[in-house]
Order: sequence, then C-alpha cells, then structure tokens
Amino acid sequence: MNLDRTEALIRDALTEEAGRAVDPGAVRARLHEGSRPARRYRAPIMAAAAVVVVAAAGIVVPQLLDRHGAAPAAPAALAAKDLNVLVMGLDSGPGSPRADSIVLAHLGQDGTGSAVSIPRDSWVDVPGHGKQRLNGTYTQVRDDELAKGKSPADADEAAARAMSTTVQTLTGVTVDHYATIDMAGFAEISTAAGGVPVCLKHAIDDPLTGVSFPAGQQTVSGDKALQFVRQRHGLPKGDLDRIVRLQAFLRSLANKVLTAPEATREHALTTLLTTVRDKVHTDPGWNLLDLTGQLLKLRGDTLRLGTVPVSDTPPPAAAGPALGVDPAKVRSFVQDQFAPGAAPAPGSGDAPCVN
Amino acid sequence: MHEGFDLFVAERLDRLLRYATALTCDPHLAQDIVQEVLLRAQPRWARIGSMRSPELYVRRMVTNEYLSWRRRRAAKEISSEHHTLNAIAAPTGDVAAEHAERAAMRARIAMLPRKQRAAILLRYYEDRTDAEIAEVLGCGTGTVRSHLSRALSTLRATGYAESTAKEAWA
Repeated sequence: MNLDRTEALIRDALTEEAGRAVDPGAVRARLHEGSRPARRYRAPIMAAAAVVVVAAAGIVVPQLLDRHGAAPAAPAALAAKDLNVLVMGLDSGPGSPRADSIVLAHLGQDGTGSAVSIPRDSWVDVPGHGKQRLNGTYTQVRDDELAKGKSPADADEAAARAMSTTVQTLTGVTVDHYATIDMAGFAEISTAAGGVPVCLKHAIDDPLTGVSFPAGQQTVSGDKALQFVRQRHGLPKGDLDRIVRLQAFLRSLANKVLTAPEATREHALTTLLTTVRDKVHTDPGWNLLDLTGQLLKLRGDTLRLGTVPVSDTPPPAAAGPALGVDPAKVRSFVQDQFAPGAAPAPGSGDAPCVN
Repeated sequence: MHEGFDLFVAERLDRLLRYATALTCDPHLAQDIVQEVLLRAQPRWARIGSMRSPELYVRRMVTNEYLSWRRRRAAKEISSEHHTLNAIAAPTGDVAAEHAERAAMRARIAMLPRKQRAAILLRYYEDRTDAEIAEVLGCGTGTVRSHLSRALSTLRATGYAESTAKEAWA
C-alpha cells in the first residue's frame, strides 16, 4: 500500500495507540480459569476519590469564577449544615455498571470531612429485595428499571436511590445526597497531580492479573495508579486490603493536590474539575456549587477515613463470598466517625505503608 | 478441550488486544472486551474454528461489542491524556514535533464516529481489504468506502498538531 503523509501518520498514530494494550498474560490467565466473570476483575476503582474530586471542584470552581470576573454566589450562606453524601464508584463497561466502591462521606460545617467505606460484599437488608450483597443492589435495580422500559438515566437514578435507602437503613445516617463517579478518569487525575506517593509493605507480583509493585515508597500515576487502587488479588485480605489501599491513596492524593505548588496545583485542579464535569453525576436536586463554602475550608489533613466493622463469620444464607455486618456496630462506628471535633489521624511526611 | 482455541489464543491474543486497544482508546476496556468475547467464543469454538476466517469473525465480535457499548467518552479521555502528557513532558526539537503530530492524530482518530474509527483501524493498522472490513463491520463494501473517505477527509481537514488537544481543554 502506498501511503501519503497523512495516511502514514494515521498508521503511526494507530500503532502507538495499540501499543498501550495490556499484557496478554493477564488475559490468558483468565481464560485458563475457564470461568466467566471477566467483569469481576474490572475495576472498582475508588469511590473515596470522589470525595476529593468533589472537594477540589468546590475549591477550584469559585477560583475560576473569580478569575473570569463573575462573582460567586455568597458561599457562606449556603453552607449552613452538615451534609452526608453517598459516593459510589461505578465500574462501567459493557452492560450495567456495578457500584463496587461505596463510601459514605460526611462534610461538617466546621470544615472537617470524614468518610467511611462500606465493603461491596457486605450482606445487607435491601428494602424491597431482602438480604443480598450490597454491590448487587445497584445493578439489579438498574436492570429492573431498564426492563420496565425506563431510560438509562432514569434507571441510574433509581439504582442510586435504592443504594441510598439501603445505606441509610444500614447506618442510620440520613443520606442527603448521592454522587456516582465513573472511575476511569482517575488515572488522569493522578497524572495531573504529578503522581501520588504510596507505600507498600511487601512487593506484589500477581500472576493472575500481571500486576506487580515493588515494596516501599513509590509514586504512582496513570494506569499504575488505577492498578494500585483496583488490586485485590494476591492481597492477604482481598477487598478489605483494597479499601485500605484506596484510603491511603486518597489521603495522599488529597494531600498532594491541596498542598501542591501553585503551578502544579492549578493544573491538577483543572483536571479534577473536568473530571467532575464529565464523570460525576449527582442526584438532580443537588448543585455541587452549593458546597463551595464548606469545601473551601476542607483540608487534606482533616479528612478522616475508616471502614465499617465486619464480622469474621460469613452470613449463613449467603451464596458466594459475602461479609457479615452487624447494623448496631455499624451505626455506632459511623456515629463516632462523623462526630464533630474528633481528632484527625496524625499527618506524616511519608505515605503510610499498606498491603 | 479445544486445542484449536488454545492455538488461536496463543497466536492471536496479542494482536487482538492491540486491535481492541486502538479501537477503544482504552487499554482496560479493551482487555475486558477481548476477555469477554473470548470467553464467549470458547464453548463455540468447534463452529467458529471451522469458519473460513475465525480471526475475522472474532474481530467482528470484538468490534460489535464495542460498537454496542453505551459509554461514549473515549474521545474525551484520550485528548485529556495527551494534554496532560504534553504539559508534563514538554519535549523539544524535531522528535517533539513528530511526537506532537502523532499525539494530535491519535486524538483526532479518537474523536471519529466509532464505525469510521473501526474502518480506519482495519485499513491502516490491519491492512484489510474493503471486503474484509465489510465482513467485520457487517455492512457492504460501499458503506466501507464511504466510512473510509469520510474519516480520511476529517483527518486531513484539520491542521497538523496541537489544535485538537488544546480545544478539548479550552
């Protein structure tokens, strides 16, 4: 084939794009398992990041408005009360997305923020659907609504509302708003932040997924950042370790973005803003700009992160892997976590090491 | 159980992943799609393996899976990434100019309508004939030629380098 200059450029560009393909070893390993669950391995990237995304957007939006001469609406007046926000990280791909990262965030009017992760395998009461795994709720309700002829947008909304009701029942906390985030934009944010420092206790080399990390302090960005927060295979406690990773990553990212030198910070915040615009969806009654007042005060070092307690004994009726949760313990844990004025975890120069 | 399938995977998986990656502009999505498609093809391999071109058939499955996929944000993601990389790397000289030109072309390809992008990929990356492309896309050769010519004129129309990546961030 004789190619002119544009055509040659097209070929080069396509070759470069194709070169980003993942290692075939990961796919081969999955095929040899012979089972079906390709989607289980797709990433619940992390929802806790959405808290930072939302927070950073709240900070950057007024700055952008200022720069362009438009006065932001008096933010202080809007920030009159504490807010509880359910943030769901959607693993999107072919078929219905799954809410694999589930975080209940509390934004205090005093500028504190805390977030509790709820493991996706938690065996919970889903109003109207009996007991099931928490992350199945989103998919199931969405599929049901689609089957009734609802539009995808309406089905997404119904699914997110069902998740909100379920989490509200479990935690006893009134969910004021929800946000869903398509986590694929996360690689961009970490890259824009100039990488995120993390630390691993042990080197990891997972033959199943082909993901490997050295032990010790390191900086991750782009695809590597995604792998870091997605990985649960090869970790001693699987999904629970993943949640810890994601929290460590979130804390570090927040710290990096909120304390970055001005030049880097603006770039990172602009990326965050774009990501929010494209990948975060909230309930229809919620305008993120309303958060401005609270978020302006939010600092990385005041973020408190935790995971609701789970019991070691699996629930008797569970089919497949599930984690037992005791609603009474969950409630008291969440209450403590969201209490005003609780001391934030001590900050440190280096990222704490995780599994 | 299906030696033919294992052989196909051993010989073609790498190429298939690259194809899917260039098609979707998203390595993770490409992995998911290829995995899904191969898992679906595995139990039916006796039939697929006996076809004239199993490879084209699997390409078609991958392409359909992508074309029917609901998310349409790939274009945005890739241009953002280019912007980010460009901003950080800020290369200089001839190598830099070539790099920028290629990056801009990647961004423009990523923004093509999906069928046009698939056609361009099959022609310029896979060197397929019109008839083969028609088989993969499940359309006639006339439609293939129209996809190709429209895509080419879009890709030629925009000036080289910068503009696209920058516009996406304006």
